Amino acid sequence: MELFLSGAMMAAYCVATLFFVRFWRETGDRFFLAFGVAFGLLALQRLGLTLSAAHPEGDDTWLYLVRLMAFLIILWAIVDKNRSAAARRR
Amino acid sequence: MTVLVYLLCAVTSLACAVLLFRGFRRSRARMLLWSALCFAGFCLNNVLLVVDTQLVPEIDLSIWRTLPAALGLALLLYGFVWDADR
Amino acid sequence: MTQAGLPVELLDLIARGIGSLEVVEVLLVLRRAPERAWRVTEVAHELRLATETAAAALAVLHAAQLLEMDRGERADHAYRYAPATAALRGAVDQLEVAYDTRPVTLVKALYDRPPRAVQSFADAFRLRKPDEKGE
Repeated sequence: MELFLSGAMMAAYCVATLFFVRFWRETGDRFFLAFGVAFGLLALQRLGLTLSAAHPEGDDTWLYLVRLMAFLIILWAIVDKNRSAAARRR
Repeated sequence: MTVLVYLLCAVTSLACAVLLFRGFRRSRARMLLWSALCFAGFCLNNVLLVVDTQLVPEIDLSIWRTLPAALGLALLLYGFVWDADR
Repeated sequence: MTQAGLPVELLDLIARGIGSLEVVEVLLVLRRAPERAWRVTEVAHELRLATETAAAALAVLHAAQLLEMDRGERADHAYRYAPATAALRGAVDQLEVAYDTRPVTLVKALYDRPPRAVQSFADAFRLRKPDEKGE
């Protein structure tokens, strides 16, 4: 059951990534590209979580780093959007 | 410190949820409502991760902590598929 | 899909609700005689538009803080060209330039916009209100 849920979530993260990339192409706003990259990383993290469940003796600190990177990218996207609000690039 | 990572993720998700909900109130664009709920689910997921690993290590919350994220993702995709072209 | 070469201020003006060529033409007609207050019927006659189209266009421009309105009888209001800020005024100047020199690019920018939901998603993350003038 957990494996199923994990697989479904990874697919969902991938689809979300595709949507964000589409939004980026529609608007030219790199904000969406950043979200796409973040969600892609979350997909990888979900994959990593599944793989590490099968090998519990492995070191999975890197998984948290991937999650951290994904959210740092989201934070950067928000900061970037507000920083360039005065000199708006699209 | 993994707890700090989870807390950062929780706070970021909460910020996204709040901003998107505020945007929904302003624009009435339903896609934002679903997106806000998704990030609320992510926030809950990260909070439960902290709870599970730090506060109640003897109980395994793994399905319960993943469920909010899974539901959030489902709502996000629902919003993208049906409401992104309004 | 960025609009090649159109100034950012102009793109923002378009994003404020200028959604069609009729609205642009109404705005530019009022701009040419800013001291005059135009009635809806006068604008419709001048540009050979249906009265409803003219009324809708004027309402949109008023909501975008580009016109002042004096209420009239039976919804035949009078509008005058009066942008709320210098930035808006500059953007309308650029609109006129684009209308004269790059009409095809302008039309593409008007009609080829991303749907409201996607744009609202990005705007939601602007911490200062995105629809206020003066940016």
